[in-house]
Amino acid sequence: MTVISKQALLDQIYEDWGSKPQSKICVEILEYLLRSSQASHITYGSLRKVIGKLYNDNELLMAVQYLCGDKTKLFEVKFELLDYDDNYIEVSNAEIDYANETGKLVHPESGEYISDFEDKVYMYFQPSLIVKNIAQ
Amino acid sequence: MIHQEISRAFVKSISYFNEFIRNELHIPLGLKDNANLFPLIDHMYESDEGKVGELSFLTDEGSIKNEKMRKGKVDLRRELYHKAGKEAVDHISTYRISILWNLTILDDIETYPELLLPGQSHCLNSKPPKLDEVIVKKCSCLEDYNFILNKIIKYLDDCD
Repeated sequence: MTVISKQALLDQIYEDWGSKPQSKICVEILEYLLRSSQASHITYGSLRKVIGKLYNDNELLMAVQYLCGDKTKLFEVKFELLDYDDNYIEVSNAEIDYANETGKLVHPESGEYISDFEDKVYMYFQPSLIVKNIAQ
Repeated sequence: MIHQEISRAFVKSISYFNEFIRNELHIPLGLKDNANLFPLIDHMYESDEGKVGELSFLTDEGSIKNEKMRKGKVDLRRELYHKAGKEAVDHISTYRISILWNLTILDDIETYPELLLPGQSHCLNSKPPKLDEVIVKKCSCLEDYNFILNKIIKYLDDCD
């Protein structure tokens, strides 16, 4: 189990983004993850609320993409399907990859093909194991 | 599904309208893109505007919450159960709200217009979250309708 210090993460963020708004966005999101250990299903709308109105969507998107990437890996990207009965069903990344290749998504429970799956699959973010092992 | 069909119908209506005024009336400018009303939801929730009668939101632990007050009772924002829940988490992500007002239009006539911003939970997964409709309910007269329209405009301006 790798333990990483909060300071090392902050240094990495500022090294990568310098004085750009993304530095502050990433730091605010990091602080949020550290104070909200129960958070496990984070939507884009939630992150927007975390950072407030100071930053635009483009800046937030770039920051989130960075936090999902190899440099920090604070977030794992997850997908869920909103099915005909308005139930959210988790879909694995492998199933999404397969659907993108073939144009067909198989319902994880019923086995039926889902048409227009792009309109019914939604992305959210889950704090990675790294977040649980940050030494403050 | 119904929501998607309504949205598609709106887009189609705007398209037909623009085509009509361009071809028949020779007016080049048509209706533009609709305003994104989603930011209004949280903005109005965090304000002290009216009484919140209905609220739907997500928490980052993965729950979907729907809360509704009996008509005319306490503002949901001030209800003990709601307040305690909100204080227990960092924040909530609102996606649907109804706000009610109590207006006096004449000395002894009161009205209770209501604004519903009918977002859906998956809106919060969009980048950015979007909403292109409102539902205005229980208007007794034009003044009620204009009152709500002005509230929408005011809070939309504040969101910019």
